[in-house]
Amino acid sequence: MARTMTNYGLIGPERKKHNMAFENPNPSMDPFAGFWQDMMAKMNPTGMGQPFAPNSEDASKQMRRVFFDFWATQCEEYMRSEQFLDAMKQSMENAMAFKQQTNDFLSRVLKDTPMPTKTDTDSLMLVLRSFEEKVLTRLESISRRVDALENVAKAESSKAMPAKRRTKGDTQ
Amino acid sequence: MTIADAPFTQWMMTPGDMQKHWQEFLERMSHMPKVLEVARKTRVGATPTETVKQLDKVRLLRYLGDREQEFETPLIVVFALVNRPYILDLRKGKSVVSHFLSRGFNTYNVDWGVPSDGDRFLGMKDYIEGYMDEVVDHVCEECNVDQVNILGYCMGGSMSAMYTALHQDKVKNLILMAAPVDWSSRDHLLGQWTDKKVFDVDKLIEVYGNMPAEMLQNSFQMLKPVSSFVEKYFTFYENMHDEKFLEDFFAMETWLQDNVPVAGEMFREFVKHCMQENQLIQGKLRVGGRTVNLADITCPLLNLTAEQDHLVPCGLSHPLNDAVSSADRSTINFRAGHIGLAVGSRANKELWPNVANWLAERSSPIGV
Repeated sequence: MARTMTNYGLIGPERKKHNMAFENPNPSMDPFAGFWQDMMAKMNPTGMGQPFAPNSEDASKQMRRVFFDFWATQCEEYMRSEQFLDAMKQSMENAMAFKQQTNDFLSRVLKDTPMPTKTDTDSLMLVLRSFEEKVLTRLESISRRVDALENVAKAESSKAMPAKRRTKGDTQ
Repeated sequence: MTIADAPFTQWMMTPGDMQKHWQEFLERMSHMPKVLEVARKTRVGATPTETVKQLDKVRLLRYLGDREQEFETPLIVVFALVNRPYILDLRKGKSVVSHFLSRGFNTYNVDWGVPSDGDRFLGMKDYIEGYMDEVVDHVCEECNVDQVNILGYCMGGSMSAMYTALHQDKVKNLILMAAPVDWSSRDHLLGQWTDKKVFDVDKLIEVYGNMPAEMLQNSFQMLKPVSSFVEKYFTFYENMHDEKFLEDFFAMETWLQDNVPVAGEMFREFVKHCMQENQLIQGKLRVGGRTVNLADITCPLLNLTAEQDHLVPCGLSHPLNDAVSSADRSTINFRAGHIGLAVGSRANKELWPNVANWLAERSSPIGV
């Protein structure tokens, strides 16, 4: 068994040679075969290529760990590939197109019955937000003007205070 | 070796092994009533809270700890908008909040609520300059102080950094956990998926309104498909007899399945301006007509990152320490994952007591 696993574990040019020796009857299986060959190759350093006690708890746990780690790495590699990213983009575009169609259909149905559509509520929200924005901006400008007026009033009263005191002193 | 290992060891099974596995399977299935009972009775949120302020759907919660308040400046926890904030107080022994309460901090949490279709136009300005600022003002008024401490997690951490940069005078100490600020590196999986070429966020929000919760949840799970869809259930099968494991498992599952939609405009702005255009670290991000300049942060900063974070790799958070002007700034890179940083047993034993001490050293005791 150990011998067989070591053969499966061949990587790089040696693996190519090995495959050519079998004249590769089904090239479409290459990615699948490559997955298992790579996994077996990675199992070797963990001792999995060597005979081990079949009932050993650690061995089976270790084997599972290696398998999951390898599977996770393969998944991540695939999910980073151009192929996957294109597929993801395509599926999102399809989902958005479908949702858009549903929205349009529902809008038409709701228009026929006297009901507000999503577009109507969105427009209403936008009007409210723009109204809120205007009110807040106006309040802010009023607040600034009030602050400025208060500052002027404070400055004037502080100017007047010493003068008042002086007047009192003069009288005494 | 359990039956869960069978697919990996099948070729060496003897009839005796198979019988043993079958018996073991039946034995585990006998725990099913217990599993269902634990699933039914599992509750999330370890510490009682009271709602002290409600702003539209946003609730400000105050934790009711047993310990008397020792420090003057309260702590506000700001979580991301994509999940519920109780992850920071999931269960007894897995609660970040409990460390601050037991150290004597008056602790608050911002629950952003669940946005509905009408909230699709809420943007960064509304969340940061609106809700966050009102929450901070309210806490300051309630505690009769001028400043608060902020602890921001994940996207909530980025928002906390933005808020602190805009309102440094109101923040005494800033703690960030797994908070992304620099998206210049696109090596991580989420960075690749949200790339402009692949992800048209404008169109998505135009069509969907808010960012749907299911879409977010699927994306997060797909980042680690083997762990999310396979490995987790193997572990569950092997530990079906362990009540403590089941309680933790169901509490975690409750939180994981409890995604909430994100207000459309907020999501669009965050993805477009931060993740795709990386404006925050470059000092180009504008919130409510003001430019967010991270160099305006001068308060003590503790930047916590998770070594094995698949969602926010350390490289997205570490540049913050160079961007701020704080003289007192440090980083702890803890050996955990994105969620393990909050609920991991090691993090709760080794990291959080130290973080609470860090904050205590920089806070004034009451009456001093």
